Amino acid sequence: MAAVLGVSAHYHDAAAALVVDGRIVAAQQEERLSRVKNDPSLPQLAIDACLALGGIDAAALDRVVFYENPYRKLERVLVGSLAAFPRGAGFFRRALRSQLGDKLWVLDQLAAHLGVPRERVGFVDHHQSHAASALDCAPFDDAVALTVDGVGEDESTALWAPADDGPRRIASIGYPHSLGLFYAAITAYLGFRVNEGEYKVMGLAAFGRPRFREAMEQLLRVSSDGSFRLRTSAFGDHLRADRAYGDELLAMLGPAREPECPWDLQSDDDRRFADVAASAQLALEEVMLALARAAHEQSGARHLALAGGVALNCCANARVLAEGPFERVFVQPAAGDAGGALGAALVGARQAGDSIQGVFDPALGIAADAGRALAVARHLGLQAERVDDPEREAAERLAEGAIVAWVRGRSEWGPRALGQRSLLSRADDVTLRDVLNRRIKGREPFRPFAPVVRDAHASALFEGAPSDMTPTMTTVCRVKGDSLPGCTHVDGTARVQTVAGGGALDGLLQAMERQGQRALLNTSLNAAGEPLVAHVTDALDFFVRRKPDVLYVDDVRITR
Amino acid sequence: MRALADFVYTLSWRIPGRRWRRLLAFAEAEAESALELRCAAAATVDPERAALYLKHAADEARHAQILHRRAALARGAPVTLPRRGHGRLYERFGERVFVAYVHRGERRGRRQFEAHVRFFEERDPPLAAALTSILTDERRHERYTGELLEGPFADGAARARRRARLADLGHRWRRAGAALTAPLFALLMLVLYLLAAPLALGARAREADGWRKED
Repeated sequence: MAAVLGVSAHYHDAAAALVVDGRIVAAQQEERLSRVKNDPSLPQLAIDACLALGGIDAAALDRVVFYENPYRKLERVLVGSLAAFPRGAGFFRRALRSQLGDKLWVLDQLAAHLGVPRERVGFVDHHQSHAASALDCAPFDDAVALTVDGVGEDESTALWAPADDGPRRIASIGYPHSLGLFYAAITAYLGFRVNEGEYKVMGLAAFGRPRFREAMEQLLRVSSDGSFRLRTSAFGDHLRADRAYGDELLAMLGPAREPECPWDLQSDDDRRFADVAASAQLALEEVMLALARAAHEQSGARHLALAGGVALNCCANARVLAEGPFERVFVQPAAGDAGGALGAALVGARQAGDSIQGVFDPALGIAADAGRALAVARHLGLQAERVDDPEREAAERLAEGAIVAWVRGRSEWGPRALGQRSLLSRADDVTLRDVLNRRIKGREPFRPFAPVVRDAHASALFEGAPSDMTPTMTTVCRVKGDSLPGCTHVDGTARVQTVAGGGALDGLLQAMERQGQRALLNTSLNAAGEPLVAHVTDALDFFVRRKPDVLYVDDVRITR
Repeated sequence: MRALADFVYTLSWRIPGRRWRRLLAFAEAEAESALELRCAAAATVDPERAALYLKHAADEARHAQILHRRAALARGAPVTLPRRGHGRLYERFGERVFVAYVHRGERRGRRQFEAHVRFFEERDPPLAAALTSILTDERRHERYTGELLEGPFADGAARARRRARLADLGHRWRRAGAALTAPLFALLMLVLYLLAAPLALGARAREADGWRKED
């Protein structure tokens, strides 16, 4: 019986997670509290929040587990920069500055921040953290984990079997052969921020034709055993996280897109970029399918659990389930580096002798404080009052065409708004979608929105829903008919969220049904480039700046 | 004295090609300040002050947008607003020192913006107008943080101001130190990299593709 804190930090998406006696008690991304998107810094706010949610003092922690091996990471960084000699000189300098400045001392930093003895602070491997987060949160046994991301210590992809003391590695593929690196390079090529713009590439892909397929096959070559090889010479700047592509890739695909330029998908240039996105997405999906087949062949498992940043590619996940060899597929919703904190805590708990218990529920973050929202809203000059039935009232407003900011209970774990910190509107109204994209969220016009629907209606509205991935929005499904134009992407799919019985969102959807609507558009409560809202003050800040029609914080209604 | 301050504050505007970079740096500072204030709003126990910090944060976010747009105009091409962290001032020092620090920053910002407005009044009237709108907000921010230091935080305000001054000096010292030592560090790292060059062959030999199976 142990209290174990898991931590990820210093690359991107720092987070903390607390597991007590084998139960996941709390998990919180630092960016939500510091308000710095993809905040990589030591997650002191998230750690303190997790301890507060667990009601325990740092001194009571039995173990603190960092999500990767900082020493092997340093080795990989040094070897990588030497392997790229002489081009790696700049990377060598930058890497040593950050490694010696912070990263190498992370275990000591954690001990100092928490005031715990240094010997209680340890680490597990990066991909093992990912694998544990997937296997231990999955709703099934008889599973193999496939972890796919940019790079861990020195591997980019790995297969894992469940074991009592944490996942056991079956096989791995070494860096720089990395799907995460490949997609990051395309993301940068298309003018988006790496580690953030990958969703945009996926959304953009639906507008293009994969006419660069052959080029992609040269860049990313799949072997008959399901492994893959990256043409590293085309990723000449792969040591630069913000660019990651080289002149050879430019020669194959044409000039890169300037960041920040407005999109015009009628123009020849932007159509070419959409075609590049479509080709890259197709290549990634093909490799993910090959990896899934290899995972099945090497493990014999019936089910697949996915994690690592690439597992956030919901279009690829859909194909893995539909065309791959597994009966069921699950994706841990914080599949990126943040999720490593949860996996590290779970491995730590197992190594302390605990078995992992409970059904995974992603509402693991800080709670909304309606009383505080009421008080602060009034000082902001807003109308704020408690209401008897917020679900019924919100449903009426939504049916009238309002855009509703919806804050309920504990915040979500992972990048998706799942009804705890959401922006909602009717799903059948295209004009509302455009208002949301342009005025409220300030996003690119091609980006789709997602629908949310009760389990009971999922199969009527979508092909292949519900599934193990739909509760956490980690897959896409084909939309049946044309009843949801506000959240059907140009390729006829939607990243649907399904909701089981109970809970406020289920209540709201039931109230919507009484208004004649079976689905809602559900998007994250944040503006472009900002982290998802966590505290109620963040929700009020968003409400004041971005002007949705109404904000509900639990049973408090806030209007202007 | 004012002429000297004007000269110092506006020196970089006179250097060709620097204008858009300076405006972008201002935008970055305003965006960082907005993040600090949002964190303060979440952390303070007092709902009235939370509301004050949120209003201030909204102003800073708007300033960042204005300055970002102006930077792009000055450059004649889109520019990306760098995204960095922030100083976590509230977390590090508590609310009283945080307010003293913000007050100090707003006073300095107000003085600088007054100089910038005077500089651009005739050279670039649209930019001067944008800066004037920001200056109006800066004066309000300076006033309300000053009132907090004389009201709810009056007890211990002098000490808080001293700590804020020290924190500010420390921040500037570290920034200057980093700027001064960066070339030396770069040189040392280059030498180290060249000395390690023979290891590159071994490093390349380590690269392998395909599955690495566990025993």
